[in-house]
Amino acid sequence: MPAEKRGGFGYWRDPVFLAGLAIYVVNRTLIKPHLHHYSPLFHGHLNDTLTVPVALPIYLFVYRWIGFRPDDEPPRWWEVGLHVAVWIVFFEWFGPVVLHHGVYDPIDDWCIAGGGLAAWALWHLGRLMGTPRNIS
Amino acid sequence: MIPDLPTLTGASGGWMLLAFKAVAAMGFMTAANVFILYAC
Repeated sequence: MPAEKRGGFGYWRDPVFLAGLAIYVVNRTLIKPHLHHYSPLFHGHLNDTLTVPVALPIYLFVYRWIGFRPDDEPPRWWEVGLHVAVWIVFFEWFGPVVLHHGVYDPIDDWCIAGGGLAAWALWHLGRLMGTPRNIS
Repeated sequence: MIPDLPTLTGASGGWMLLAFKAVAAMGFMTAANVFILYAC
C-alpha cells in the first residue's frame, strides 16, 4: 500500500460491503434456486442494486494497491458516479449489444444508480449526520 | 507490509508511472466487468 493512511474505509471489511455480499449470497444460494417462476426482483433488479455496494469496494481496493487511490477515505461521490456510469454503459449496452450477453432493461439503470446512491449515503452517514465516522 | 504494484514492477516517477497506473486500473476494471457480466 502507498504510505498515506488517511481515512478509515475498510474495503472488504466495510459493513456495507459485507451486508451487500451477504444479501447477494443468500439470494444466489437460497432464494433463486427455489423460485419456480422468473422473478424480476430476485433474478435481476436485486443484483443490479447490489452492484455498487459489493463491487466498488473491491475495485477501489485494487486502485489503492496500484497506487491510483491516494488514501483510504470512504468512496467519494465522483468515484461512485464514475463507476455507475461505466457499469450502466458496460452492462446495459456493451454486454447485450457487443458481447451478446445479458438483456437491456432501463429499470436496471435505475437500480444500479439507486444502489449507488444508497451505498454512498451509508458510507457517509456519519458525515451526513454531523458525526465523523472512522472504521478501520 | 505488502508492497504495492508499482513497487513490485519497478515503475517509478512521472508520466510513465501515471500511465502505468492508468493502464493497470483500466485493465482491472475491464476484466472485472467481464467477470461480473458472465459470473454474477
